[in-house]
Amino acid sequence: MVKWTELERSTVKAIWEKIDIDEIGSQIWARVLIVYPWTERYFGSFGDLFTITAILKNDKVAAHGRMVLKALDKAVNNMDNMKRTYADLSRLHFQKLEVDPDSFRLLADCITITIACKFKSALSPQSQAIWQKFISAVVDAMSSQYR
Amino acid sequence: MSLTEKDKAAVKALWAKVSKAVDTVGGEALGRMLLVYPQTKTYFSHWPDLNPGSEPVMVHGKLILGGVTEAVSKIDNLSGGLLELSELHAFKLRVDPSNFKILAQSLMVVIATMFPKDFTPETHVAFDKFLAAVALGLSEKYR
Repeated sequence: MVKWTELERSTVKAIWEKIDIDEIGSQIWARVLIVYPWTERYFGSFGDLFTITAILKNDKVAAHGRMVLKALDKAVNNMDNMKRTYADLSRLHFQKLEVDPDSFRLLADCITITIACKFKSALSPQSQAIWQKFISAVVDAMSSQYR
Repeated sequence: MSLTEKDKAAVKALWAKVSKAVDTVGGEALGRMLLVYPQTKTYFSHWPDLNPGSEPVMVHGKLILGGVTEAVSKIDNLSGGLLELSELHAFKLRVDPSNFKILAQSLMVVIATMFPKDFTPETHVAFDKFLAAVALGLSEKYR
């Protein structure tokens, strides 16, 4: 189980409170599909993902991004219990969706970069370190049922 | 994943802006890397101060940024153009090549905080590919 200091808890919550899920969710998902195009393999039903313009305009991409960010809310509110919180989702991604868990790390990196664009220097090195610890714990929890 | 002409143009356009902040970007990236990915500190135990903003971090960060600038100028031949730097990293510094990816992410986060409007997804993918190619060029002499 990951141990969190009070500073780490409050920093993660402070970052999370400033994130507008509707605005950022769609940006994050578009970024993942554009920067790591092989992740498109999981989204055959999303329609036109053939160009960057199409990805940026795709409503299903935007909706999916918002859905994933809403799920991240569970991690923010269950920092002491992430593996248990995400056990079912992890199993779903392994057994039914058949998602390569390396994708979670790619998504985590894109989330961090999107936040960096939004927060600019307000994402201090110290905040970034705490955020990275948090998002790595989420990635671990999402990978935990891959066995 | 070789660089297209479009990728190269995007990297050069971005670097034209980033290299103007040569005194800070490299140091910021290195400082963040040491803090966010503490395992990287193992390569710098000889420094008195590893904190973001410290003198050794800022000085070395500027040096690293100079290396990336050199890579941009050799963007048409990264596998052959970085041989000296590769020898340095392979034989003298003996940096595990997995760390190039970590520094790449740290550099991109700094660029995102300083140039958010320029670091669009399109520029991001080109730059990510470029840094991966630089990492490959730096790894050339390892074995």
